[in-house]
Amino acid sequence: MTDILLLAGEAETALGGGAALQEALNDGRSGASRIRRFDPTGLVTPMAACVGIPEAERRAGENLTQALLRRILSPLRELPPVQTIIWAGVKGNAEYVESGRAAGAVFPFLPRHYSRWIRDVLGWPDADLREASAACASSTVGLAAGARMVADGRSRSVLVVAADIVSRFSSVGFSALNALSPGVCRPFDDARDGLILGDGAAACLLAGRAYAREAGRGPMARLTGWAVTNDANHITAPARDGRGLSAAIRAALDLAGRNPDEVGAFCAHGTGTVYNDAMELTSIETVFGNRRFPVFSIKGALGHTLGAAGGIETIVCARALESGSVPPTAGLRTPEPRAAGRVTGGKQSLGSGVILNANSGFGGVNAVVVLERTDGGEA
Amino acid sequence: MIAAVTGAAVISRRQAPDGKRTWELPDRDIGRMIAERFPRFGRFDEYTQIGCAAIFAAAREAGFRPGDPRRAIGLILSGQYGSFDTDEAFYATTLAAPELASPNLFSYTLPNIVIGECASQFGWMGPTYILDGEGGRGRAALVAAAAELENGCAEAMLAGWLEIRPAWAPPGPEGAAVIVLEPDAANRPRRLALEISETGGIRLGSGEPVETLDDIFLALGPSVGAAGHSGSLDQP
Repeated sequence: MTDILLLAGEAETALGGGAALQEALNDGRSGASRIRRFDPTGLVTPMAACVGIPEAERRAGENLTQALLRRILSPLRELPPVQTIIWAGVKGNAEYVESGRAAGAVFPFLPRHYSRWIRDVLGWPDADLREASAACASSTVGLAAGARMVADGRSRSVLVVAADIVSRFSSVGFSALNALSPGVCRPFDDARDGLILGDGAAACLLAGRAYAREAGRGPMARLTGWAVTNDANHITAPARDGRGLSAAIRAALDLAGRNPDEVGAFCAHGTGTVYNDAMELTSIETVFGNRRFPVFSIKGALGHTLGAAGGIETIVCARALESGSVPPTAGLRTPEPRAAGRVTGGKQSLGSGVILNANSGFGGVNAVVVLERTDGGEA
Repeated sequence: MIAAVTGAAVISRRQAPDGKRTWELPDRDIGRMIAERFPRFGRFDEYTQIGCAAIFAAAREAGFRPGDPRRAIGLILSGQYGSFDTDEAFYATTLAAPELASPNLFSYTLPNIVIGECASQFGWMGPTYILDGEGGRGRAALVAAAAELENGCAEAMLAGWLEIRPAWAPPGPEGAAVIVLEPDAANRPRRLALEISETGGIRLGSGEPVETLDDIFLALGPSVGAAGHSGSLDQP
């Protein structure tokens, strides 16, 4: 199979992007603050991890999602044109819907609009466009679909881009589902009681070695395995036995040619809801047995960034492979018993150069990617 | 590999004189059969109802039944507007007060929920997602589904197109078209044989390239979706 390289990764979050983001995560900081973008009265929580976007930064006629995207797209313009762009944002139409469709100033609103706009901004007119949607696993599914395209020779380079903002639309929806924490988001904690939302954008460039040589840059990591599965259980509740996620982990490891003992860390979806985190721990025990190894979630720090979550987490994992350690799980005080010895409130050393990133979403979807350390240097 | 199309279904919109949407259903009894199998069918949004109906009809022809043992069967759909109508319907419930927002409608603001509804009923645990893109109707889903099948990620893959256009959208086709793809086997009835290459290329048995779902339905002939039963899915 063609080597698939993660050649570039750009993220923007409430804690910034790039090296600053990794440093903030490693310091255990949280980006949560009181929502100012809209009136949070009546929500379970007034807190979210929003990115400060000054009005002056927004170009005329562009929405907040685009402003967020511009921050991550700019550094990519120096790259050779990619063959495929996959948009994986979930609710890019939130501002449009909230406006009552009255203002032309909130275009774009369909996934297709975003992929076209990204192509225009990057100046890559020949790029083929795709739009992936799989709820909160969207960008991980986009990565899996992109990796398959590169592996099969259908594309030599795939840029997966996703962004979702903290909107009234999503906040009210998650509040109505009683999924928001009234306090602090504490993934895998014994007293966890829900998630908080966050702004997030991510762009991950997957390519084979020919494109990497043309780009003249070394990979951040290799993407060696991926899988997408369904729980076949319920549209909003995860399968209690974690069967879908377990199947995805096993399939991704099989593709990577790795066994569970070789995995050095697990970047969990870790939303901080009671049932998601319990399902993930069940799945981890199913696949990895009683083995204690680093498991972490960054959603206590960045909030749940919906479609962008998997992309951001993939970039954080790649940087963790470079540094040899994974960030703490912000918000954690007392890990629930099955998380003890796995999830901590401090940085943890990677046990190997193999890391798994997992995301799950409404509709029962699970997506997993396997990232591996490279020896650096040009491809 | 040689893949077989073992099931197919089309639901298309018929323009009613009063301007309301009615649908050409593949089977007069489809609404009743689905309502029996999907206890919450009446609470689905229209996007999910139409999608479920087409998926149900195609899957039934392929021999899949709700309640079957869980298997690695996947489902990929294409579509441009997704659940936009439902997004607006949900948001309307939030305007008086956030506390009055409909959690049920919020779930259906995700276009992949229709896939989750069917996966949970039929026990499908394979790759399931929405993938749209440039090219003809359903092309992105079809190519991705063929690749998943060719790479052994699923025992069978459903690929389809699902579109409900919001009232403000420009006119265009609406409805759903779904096929079931399985590795060809001598003991299994098939509608059509397709050759899938390792690089995801798809050809008919005649050698003609397949670019979109429409190419497949053209090859299947007029029998698919031609029943023309008109009806409403929420009142079977």
